[in-house]
Amino acid sequence: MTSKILTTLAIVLAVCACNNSGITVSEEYPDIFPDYIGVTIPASIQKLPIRMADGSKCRTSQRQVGDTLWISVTSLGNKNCKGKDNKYNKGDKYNKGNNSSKGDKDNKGNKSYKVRYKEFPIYISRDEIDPYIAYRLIEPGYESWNNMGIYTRALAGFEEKAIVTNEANAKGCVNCHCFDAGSPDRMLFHARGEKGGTVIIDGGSITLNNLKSKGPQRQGTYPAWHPEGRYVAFSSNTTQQCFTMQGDQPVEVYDTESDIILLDTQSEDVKYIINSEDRLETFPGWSEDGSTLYYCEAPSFADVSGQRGEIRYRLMGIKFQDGEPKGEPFVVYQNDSLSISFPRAAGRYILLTGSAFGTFPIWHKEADLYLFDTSTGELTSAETLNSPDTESYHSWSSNRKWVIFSSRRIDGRYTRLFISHFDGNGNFTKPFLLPQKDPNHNTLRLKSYNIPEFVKGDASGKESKIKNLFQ
Amino acid sequence: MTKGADGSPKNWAKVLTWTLEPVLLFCTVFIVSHIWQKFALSNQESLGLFLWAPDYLNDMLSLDRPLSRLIGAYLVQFFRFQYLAEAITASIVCIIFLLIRWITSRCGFTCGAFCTLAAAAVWTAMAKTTETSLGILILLIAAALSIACIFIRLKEFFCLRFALSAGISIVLLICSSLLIARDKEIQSRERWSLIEQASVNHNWDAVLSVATPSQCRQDREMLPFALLALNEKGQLAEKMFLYPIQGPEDLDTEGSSSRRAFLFSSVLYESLGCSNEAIHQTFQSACFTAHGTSFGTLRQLVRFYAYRGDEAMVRKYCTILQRSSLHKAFTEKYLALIEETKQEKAPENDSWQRNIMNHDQLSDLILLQQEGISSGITMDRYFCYLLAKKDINSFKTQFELAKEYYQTIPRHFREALEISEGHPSPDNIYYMYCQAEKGIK
Repeated sequence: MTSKILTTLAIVLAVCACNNSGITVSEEYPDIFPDYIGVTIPASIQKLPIRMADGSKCRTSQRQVGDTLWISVTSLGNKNCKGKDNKYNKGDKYNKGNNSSKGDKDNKGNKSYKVRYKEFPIYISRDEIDPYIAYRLIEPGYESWNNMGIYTRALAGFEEKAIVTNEANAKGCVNCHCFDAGSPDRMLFHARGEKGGTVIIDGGSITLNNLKSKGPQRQGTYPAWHPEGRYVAFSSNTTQQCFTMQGDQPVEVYDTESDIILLDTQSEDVKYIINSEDRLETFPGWSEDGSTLYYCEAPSFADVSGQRGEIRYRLMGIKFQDGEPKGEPFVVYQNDSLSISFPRAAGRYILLTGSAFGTFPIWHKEADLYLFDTSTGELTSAETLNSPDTESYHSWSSNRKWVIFSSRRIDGRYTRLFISHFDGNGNFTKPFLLPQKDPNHNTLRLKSYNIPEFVKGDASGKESKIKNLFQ
Repeated sequence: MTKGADGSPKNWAKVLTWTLEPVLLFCTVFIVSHIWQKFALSNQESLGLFLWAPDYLNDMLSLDRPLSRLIGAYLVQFFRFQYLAEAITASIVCIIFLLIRWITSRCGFTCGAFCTLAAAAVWTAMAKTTETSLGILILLIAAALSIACIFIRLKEFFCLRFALSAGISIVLLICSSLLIARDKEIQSRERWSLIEQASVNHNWDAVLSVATPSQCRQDREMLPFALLALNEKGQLAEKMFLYPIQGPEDLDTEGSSSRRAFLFSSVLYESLGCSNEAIHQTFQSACFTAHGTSFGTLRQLVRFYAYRGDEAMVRKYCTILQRSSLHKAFTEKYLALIEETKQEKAPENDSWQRNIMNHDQLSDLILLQQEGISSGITMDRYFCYLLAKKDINSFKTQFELAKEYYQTIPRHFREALEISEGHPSPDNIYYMYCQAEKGIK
């Protein structure tokens, strides 16, 4: 009798577990790509398209409770997938499916029914985010390139527009875009090659400037626009690269020479502000109030490629007032096992990239983001943002509440963009991958994202004018 | 001839009138393409790309004449199979012929020979430019005109007799065939297409069948490919100086910045077991293709990353290739392979200790040996470089240390040793090389 009751109970439970449309309920979170489980998003981002990590499609529904979105995912099994069993179409290589309840398989190994997973939360922050981002798209190659361009897109949607592509300058390089405090109307970028120079967009005025013809006769590389908008600090780098025969890191990019120059956008004068024979100075970045210029510095070596493992950059600073550096440069942070790049200040914090050595962290798998607290002098790893693969370029939103950064965590080579919320007290939330209309786009896109920056508006629509500069 | 029901001589003549010329055209294009263009056609596929992917489609739509380019790129992916390539080419030409015949007949002008002339001109232009999209463009224009002609029916004002028309068509097709068969540029492209494909597929005999010593004399660019093929077959030290070598620079394409030079380098470093550099050179070569990548490039990258055991990259490129029409078997093969060979390893911390490429073949070969990725190919190549440099002293000193690896001493090494001992035999080819001034051979 007891066994009959138990059997009946088991049958009833099994029937309850599957609804009448053949959906099995799982008590585990879904294995989805991108992994948006528990991320914090700005209110302006409405859509976060996902798919199952195994490549199959899924149906989602959501309900909002306060500032939390609860997402319910039902995997649609194999019949909605292309191919037999897209088990090869994994998403994040560090978040591979360890989910055991993906549905039974039929005798051909195909999944045969739908699974509804445990609801997962997405937290909505009340902190605003700049409505647009800008970035460069380029193949992650070595010495040459084909098409590249600087693009912008609204975070609320998916449409991507070109600010400029290298069609404008006969397939030359376009790089190092920089905005004046995130203004879409005031930006600059470099166009390399014949007739190249630094393109400065200031409202309706678009000019091509040859920095090399002015002052110290050095061309600009990494820019940093002073918060008050008049000055732009550039590093001026002589860059080379070498290629390793074996190993994980195929290329090392290094500088044989680098100094910091300053452009006065009013007078158009260019002058050195940090310049020494025996040191390499690069990666300028301003404090939020513009009173300090941060940069990275390393001793120069005779054989840079041979001694590349010994080159570590430290974080330096110099006071700045009325267009002039004040006093002597000072060491902000130095670590004998970490090379520092891209210092970006937010209040008392400086977010920076740290790698084992060198000045080009994007090719360093060990490169991570670190947060330096200027009030305590402590450097801590921004662990929430980091992965076993490369994290590199990063920038703050204009209210310093959000950070966008580049990471190679998806496949180890093609850089993708992640956004995280910052609470102003040294804490980041789990970052989310820049949403795409079709999540597969992250895999199908054969270009890397470079230099992500937040922008306060749409910076596109100037391409034809820019093109005229190179006619 | 008498009138009759179906099957009567009159109907057969009509059928013959309408089908002879297009059938003749199809067969001619198919056969000529098969004999003189088969590798050039399949190489179009290697250099082409068609993906159902947003970036690719947006890129195509931003170009001029996007429709013909898209259809052309879609069809070219089937050129991976030789017979299909020839059949598609022949079909395009044939459809153009039929459309033009329809248009002209509606305009009161019945002349099969004129249609053959137009179709043959398109065929020849496609063969000269390797632009399938050009044929598609003409086809689309002809199709649009054909639709317009549905509403036009002019009284016939000219009709060339069938026998005469067929005769002229045959002459035109013979002329076009001869033009294609004898065109130096087409011949050269065919040879190079074979060499490129055979090198990538490691079909070294095929490389050597084209890159013969006499052919290399006419086109010195072939030398690195021929010497690598010899190297792979273990014959470099036996036959190298039968080729018109002028110096060590003939062994590679260093310093040259063409797609073909980078393709060679990628194959060379693959042979030497140096996957980092093979990938580097493949990326370089890809920059010369229309979309910054191609089917050939993607397949090579899959191979190289599979060799490295890099699962994420193999999966990425396979996912991309799965957005084309004909890579199912290829991707399944490599995805199964990577399942077996994938390497889960922690990121390296000592990458700075790795040797770097000098882009000087001699020192790079030494560094490769230091990296522990030396092979018989590397060793043969190293000694042959010394011989090509006419550095017999270094050769002799270093060969002494490596002699034990050779069961029998290869011909050129023997010849070099003879010279070092001061008594070269009369049939010493290497001696003749050493005596020759650069550029004389």
